[in-house]
Amino acid sequence: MFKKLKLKNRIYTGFIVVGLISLGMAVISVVAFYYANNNFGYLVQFSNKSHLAVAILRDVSEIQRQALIYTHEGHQSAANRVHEIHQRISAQIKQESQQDSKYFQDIVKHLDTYVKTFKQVQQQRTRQAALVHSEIRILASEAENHFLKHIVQASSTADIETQLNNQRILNSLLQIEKYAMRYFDTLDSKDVIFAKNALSQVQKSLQTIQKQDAAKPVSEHILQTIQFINNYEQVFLEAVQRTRGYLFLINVVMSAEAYEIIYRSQRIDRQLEQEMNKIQQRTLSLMQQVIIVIISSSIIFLILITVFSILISRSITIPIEKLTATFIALAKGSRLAKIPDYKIQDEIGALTEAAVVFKGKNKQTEELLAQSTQLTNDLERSNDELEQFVYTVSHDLKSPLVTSMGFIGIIQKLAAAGKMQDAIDKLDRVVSSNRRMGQLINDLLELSRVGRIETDKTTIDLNKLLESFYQNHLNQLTHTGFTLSFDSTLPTLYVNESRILQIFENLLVNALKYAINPNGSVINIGASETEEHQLIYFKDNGPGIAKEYHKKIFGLFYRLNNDKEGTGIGLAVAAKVMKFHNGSIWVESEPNNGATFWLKFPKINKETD
Amino acid sequence: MSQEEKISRTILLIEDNEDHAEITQFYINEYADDIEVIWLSDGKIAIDHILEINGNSKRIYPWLILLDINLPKYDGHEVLLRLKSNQSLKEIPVVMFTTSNSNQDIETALKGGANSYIQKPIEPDEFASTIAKIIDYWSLNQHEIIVNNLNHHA
Amino acid sequence: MDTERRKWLKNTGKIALGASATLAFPNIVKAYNSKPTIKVVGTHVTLQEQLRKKAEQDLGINIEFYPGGSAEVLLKASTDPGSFDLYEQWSNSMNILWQANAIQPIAISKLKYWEEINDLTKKGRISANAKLGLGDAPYKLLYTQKDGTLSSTPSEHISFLPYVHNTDSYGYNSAVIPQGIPYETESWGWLLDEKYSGKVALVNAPTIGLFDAALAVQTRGLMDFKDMGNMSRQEVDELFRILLDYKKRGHFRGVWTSVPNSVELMKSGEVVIQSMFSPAVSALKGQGVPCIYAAPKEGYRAWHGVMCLSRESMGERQEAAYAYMNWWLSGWPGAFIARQGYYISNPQRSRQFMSKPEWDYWYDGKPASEALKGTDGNVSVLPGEIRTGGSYIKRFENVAIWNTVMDSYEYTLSKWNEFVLTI
Repeated sequence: MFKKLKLKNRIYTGFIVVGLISLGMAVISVVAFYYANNNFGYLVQFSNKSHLAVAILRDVSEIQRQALIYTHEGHQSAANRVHEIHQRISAQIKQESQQDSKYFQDIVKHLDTYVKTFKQVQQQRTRQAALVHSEIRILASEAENHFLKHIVQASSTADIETQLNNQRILNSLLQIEKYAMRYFDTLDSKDVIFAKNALSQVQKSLQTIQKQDAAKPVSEHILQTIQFINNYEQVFLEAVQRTRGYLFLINVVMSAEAYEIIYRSQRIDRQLEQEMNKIQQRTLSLMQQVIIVIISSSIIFLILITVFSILISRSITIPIEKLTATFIALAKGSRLAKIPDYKIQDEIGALTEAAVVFKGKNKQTEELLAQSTQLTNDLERSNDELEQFVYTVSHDLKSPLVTSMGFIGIIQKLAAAGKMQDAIDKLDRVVSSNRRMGQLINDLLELSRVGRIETDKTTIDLNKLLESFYQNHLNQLTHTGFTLSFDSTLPTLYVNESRILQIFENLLVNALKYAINPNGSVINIGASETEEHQLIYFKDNGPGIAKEYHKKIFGLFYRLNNDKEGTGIGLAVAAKVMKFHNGSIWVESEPNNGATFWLKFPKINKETD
Repeated sequence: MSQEEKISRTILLIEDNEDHAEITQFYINEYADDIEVIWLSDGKIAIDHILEINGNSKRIYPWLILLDINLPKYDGHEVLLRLKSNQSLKEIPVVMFTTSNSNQDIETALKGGANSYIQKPIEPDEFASTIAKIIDYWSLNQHEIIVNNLNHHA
Repeated sequence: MDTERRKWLKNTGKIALGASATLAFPNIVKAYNSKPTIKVVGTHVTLQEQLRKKAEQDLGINIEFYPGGSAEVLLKASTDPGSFDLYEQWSNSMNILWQANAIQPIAISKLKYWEEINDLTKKGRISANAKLGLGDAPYKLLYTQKDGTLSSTPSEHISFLPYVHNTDSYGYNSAVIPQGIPYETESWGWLLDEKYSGKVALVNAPTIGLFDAALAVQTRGLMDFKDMGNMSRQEVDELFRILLDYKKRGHFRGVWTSVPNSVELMKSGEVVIQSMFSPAVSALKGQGVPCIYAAPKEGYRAWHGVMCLSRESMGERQEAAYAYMNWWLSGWPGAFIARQGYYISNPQRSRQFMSKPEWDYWYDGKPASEALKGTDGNVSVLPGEIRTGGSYIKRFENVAIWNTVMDSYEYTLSKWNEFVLTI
């Protein structure tokens, strides 16, 4: 799919994909850090919460301390502090977002019980304080007063023993107070027992006195004393109970409530710690995950980039490289350069088409070059031929001239020597050599006239042509003892009639001269054909021609044998005629086995090429 | 002196043109009557003849060979090569005597070892003088001694 | 307590007195249209609604229950005797009440079932080879003397009606702690076993929980007591020094203040061993927690319920109070509380109100031949179970100490405070 996009689009796609991947990575990073940030937010939240638990612990310790101070010292300020701290704790808890959690609910419950109990403590303490500090004192002093008055009254009538007794009673009274007060200080219940004992002692003694004085009018004071003592005992015991009561409340009930609050706030703390640890762990693992994600996505990113750069290179740079290579090759003139297959209509496609054209032009050029090389070769060959021609002509024409002038010299010498007859005899030689020279020149002219003969071609039936040829030369044949026969039907050819005839003339002349067979000279003419050519053969059964001369004999003025007449131009003319017919002539021969001259004509339908 | 005694040198003329051969022979005999001209018209026959000399103690080495280039069968260059490649025959001076004045022929001949290259003249007087020069030159060369040696060692 | 009512009652009482010299309980209903009302102050242990209804039904009188926490109740009783007729509590508050002159002696002659009451309270021993427990053993407090003290010397009056009593020990979750052998391997020392550190609780009462701790400390050889029932200040100091050490090390989860509290602690798993009262053990078992009430080899911590007559209870109300007292020993209440694991001072009379399997399990310490239900209707005993500690006799033969208010009580309070609050 990628391969069908235009070049520009492919590049854009590549960039877009890279961009998307980067965007994706950025998004992942952002999301990851967002989560991490959230976690840190939680952490901060929790660390704030833990402060609450610490605050509660501190406050609870303080509240109990104040409560104890109040209990022991009775300071109202301490009691106020207790209520203050209670308000503060409640307020803090109300602010707490998780105040609905079980722990906080329990804390609130325990706190309420605590404060309720403390209020009871306050009640008891206040009452007890009132009892101890006022009532008891009042009662005690009243009792003492009355008894003193009684002593005063009785002192007049009482005996020493009675007086001593009264003194003892007074002492006991004082002792009672001592013990009682001591108890409220030391809280040692032995003191209560001592006080009680002393009280019962006093009561007994007073009752004894009362009974003793039953007859007499009872001293009002004794009665009063007894009453006050009884009240005193009651109040004292009540005070003791109240003391024990609130001591129990503060030391047992309240402390248990306070402890439960502390315990729970500790648990909250621990919970928070665990949560924080969990969050820390989560954050840590999240960070690790983030790092892993980032690293792995970076790796994936790199891999994708690598893949894409490979893809891009494969689809962009490789075609470019291939095209470049193609163009380089084409520039060097190759017409075989491989043009990469590229069907998309973009810049590279355009270049590819250009390359095709380039290749076509190279092909053309090469063909033209070939043609021109061919022509040059032809020309060179023609030049060579011409040179050869000139050489041969100059040589062969020169020879009779040398003869002529040479003999003229001899004639002069002979004449000078007075040998007139010898000199005149030699004149014949001059004449004949000049004659030869004339012959040669005529033949040359003849040869030169074998030129372009296109316009002179006609369709000739060789059978008819050679039949008349045969008739014309019949005499000659009979005379020389040669037999001429036609082996097969000859074809029809599109040729120049006279020139073809000339070939056969020359062949016959040569045969008559050189192809003599003592057993009977026979000439055979026949035809053969290939797909593209017509072949005519002229065969003799003469002595044959050695292989080294098969080409030479077609040379201008070349004669194997100088004995006979002739200028050696016959085969050269034949060769030229054949050439102008786009054909050729050659000989097949072995010594003592005759010679066969072959004429090759291209077939008629090809001649129009 | 008999005719045989008088003859001390032989010139071997290898030439296919009968006319040219006759002319050459005429002028040679006219100039020096102690030279015998042996005329061969065929390159192959010439080679055989020479080889015969080589093997036959009775035959006498020619004093000079005049060689034409355009010969039937073997051409002049070939004959030259045959001569010059033969241990004994190569001492015999060979003068190319031909109508051709092509540079190609001259080069080939000299490369082939021809001792001299002379064009057949077309002026009547020149033919005689040319022959005379050839004979004189090679006479001066005193190569009779070499040939005599050859003859004696045969 | 509304004064209106008191006044009205007083008036009613006066009328009653005027009308009839003696009042025996069946006659009360018939004689008068208005029923007398008695106020009973006490704890949830004995002030149960089912009992109140039955009593009202049986006696034809109005009974008002005022249950509360022990301390609260004690305070109220000792400072305001007019607010109640009967006071139900434990023997360890006897001395205080007596000292506070809040109660009047009970005439033995008016108690119908006096003879049936066993020797535990009269002589201090349930049987001849029983141990005498340390501390405020009820027999020491039973008889009122002419000099106003309480002692074991028999007399015509008693300070309290002996009725509900039991032995207490500690409970443990047998799913966590392997079951021990009663009287042999089970020991108070387990409370201080560091294996259970962080999962131990004590009852929040210096007169009870402290003795659990003292027994544990003694049996572990950490200290000795001359008389555990009456520790000296130095002994108290030493005991608390040891306990504070444990507390600081986080050994104790804390203290519990109510029976439901103790049930919750063990049920939630916060605690695996703690001081316990038997209703909590039954409740846990009913909720599927295999709680075992130990039978420690050192002996139990026992308690005795006391029913006291208010000093202010006179006339018709007093008669009604006596009627209630006698009703408690009439058999049905004894059977009722037996199903909660408590004993009554005259068990034989209650026997007829219990099925044989029940008697066998609750009193004779025999394996339950069938599932037994508690008073809430739930099965509290599975077939085959044996009551830990065995029979009534056996258990009360092994009392180590009674719940006690020592002379050093006030001192123990502040030390207790320190112990509770130490983290």
